[in-house]
Amino acid sequence: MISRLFAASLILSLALCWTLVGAAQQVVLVTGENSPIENLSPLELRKAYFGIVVRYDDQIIRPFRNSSDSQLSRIFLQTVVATSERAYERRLFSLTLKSGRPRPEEFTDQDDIVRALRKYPYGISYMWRSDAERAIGIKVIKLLWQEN
Amino acid sequence: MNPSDCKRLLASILFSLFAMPSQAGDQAQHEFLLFPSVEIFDTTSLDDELFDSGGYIGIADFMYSYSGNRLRLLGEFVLSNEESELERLQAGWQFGEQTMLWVGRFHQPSKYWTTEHHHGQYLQTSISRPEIEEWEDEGGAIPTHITGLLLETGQIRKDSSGYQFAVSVGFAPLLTESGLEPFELWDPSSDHGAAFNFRLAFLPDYFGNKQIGILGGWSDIEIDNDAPTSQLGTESVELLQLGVYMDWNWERLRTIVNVNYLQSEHIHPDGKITDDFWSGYIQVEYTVGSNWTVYGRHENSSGEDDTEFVRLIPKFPGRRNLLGVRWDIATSHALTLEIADTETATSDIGQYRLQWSAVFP
Repeated sequence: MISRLFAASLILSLALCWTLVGAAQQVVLVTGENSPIENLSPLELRKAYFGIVVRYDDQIIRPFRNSSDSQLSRIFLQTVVATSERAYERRLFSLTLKSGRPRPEEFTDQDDIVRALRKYPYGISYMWRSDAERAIGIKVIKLLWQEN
Repeated sequence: MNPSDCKRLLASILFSLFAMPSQAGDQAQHEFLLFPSVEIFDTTSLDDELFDSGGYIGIADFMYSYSGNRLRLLGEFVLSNEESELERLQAGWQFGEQTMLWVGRFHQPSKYWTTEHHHGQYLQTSISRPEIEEWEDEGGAIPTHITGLLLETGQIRKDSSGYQFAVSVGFAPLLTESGLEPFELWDPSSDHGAAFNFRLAFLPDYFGNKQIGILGGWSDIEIDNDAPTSQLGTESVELLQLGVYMDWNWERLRTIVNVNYLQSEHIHPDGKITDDFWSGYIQVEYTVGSNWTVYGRHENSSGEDDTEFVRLIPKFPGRRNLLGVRWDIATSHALTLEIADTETATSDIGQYRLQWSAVFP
């Protein structure tokens, strides 16, 4: 009887652990479901978010900033773009004034990002994995960050 | 085709390009930036009529760009209570990932400060710019606005470091009674000599601010008949510039250094007079907390007192020391206070400035 209770507790604990691990927050790179983009290197991603022209199939990658969640935005800038938000904003202003290069479009509503990704096949953005899995018409390209 | 026809053709091409409708469909993107600033200033120990005793300057710098698949158009226009000027009007074609060939009127690449901040006052920490980086109509000694061709290219390595190279060739300014006067797109019939400029930079992180490099240029500056120098018999001035610069930061400390060797050859009917001198500056900035930056700058020149070229640029300072503090009061807004001691060939003045600057949107 005791061994059965122990086994049941163990199974419950493992299930709980699995759920917790599964719930660990992840940031993913996303694009429209019909997009031909299959992968982008960290350097290509960084270039795109600094307004440098990155091409895929000779088409310009169009990066969208997801500012719907300040924590998501901070994680993306720190881990992928490798800068603080303030330094990033200032750098974008400087680069745009210097050469006219377009800044990544910024969205504060995630539904607008999904619409933009559906519209532009070479558009990319980033989301929490849970949001990306719920959204219709987009697909995950790769994992960008995972909570330890 | 004579030079005047060539200039008219260049101006026509540029205006046609800007009048062209969007042709890249989904890939077309437009950018608009506005850099407004308001400055009040006062000058003490004034014994020189070249400097204003005090007042205010309100400036709005507008930047618009269009980006298609390969084509890019860029315009920058400055409107202030003192002037209105089309600063840049250039059309570019992208070759490869990092190479752009521009045609039009642009800021030439051998002035580091200028090509880093252009007229975006908010982007530069200090209110004033170093005199060697000054605009032509503000008494600048080195030509800034060139009309012609500009090639910009770069190379990013796998470790994110990289190189940038820019080279330009075009029409140099004219020396008039009021100083250097750039070639104007809507007045392409005036006589202007040639200008050649370059900059080569190494960036340890291609996406950051840190860089170190060499720069230089050569300009054939024609003398306008009404300019005082023509009465002295100078027909033209050939100006050579060679320099090194560094913009580096260590955590909260940032240092910008630029040293230039300048040689001018004054062409007279009966020969040449050659002068040379050194001019440079160092600006040190330290960020305190998240919103405050204190800074200081020292500008100095050596051997400029006896040069005929500096006599043509009366506002050119031999030495200047300044201190300032900048407060970033909100996202994209800043208040800056600056105190400077400037020594020119004829006067020693104190300058106090207070400025609000911002960027939209």
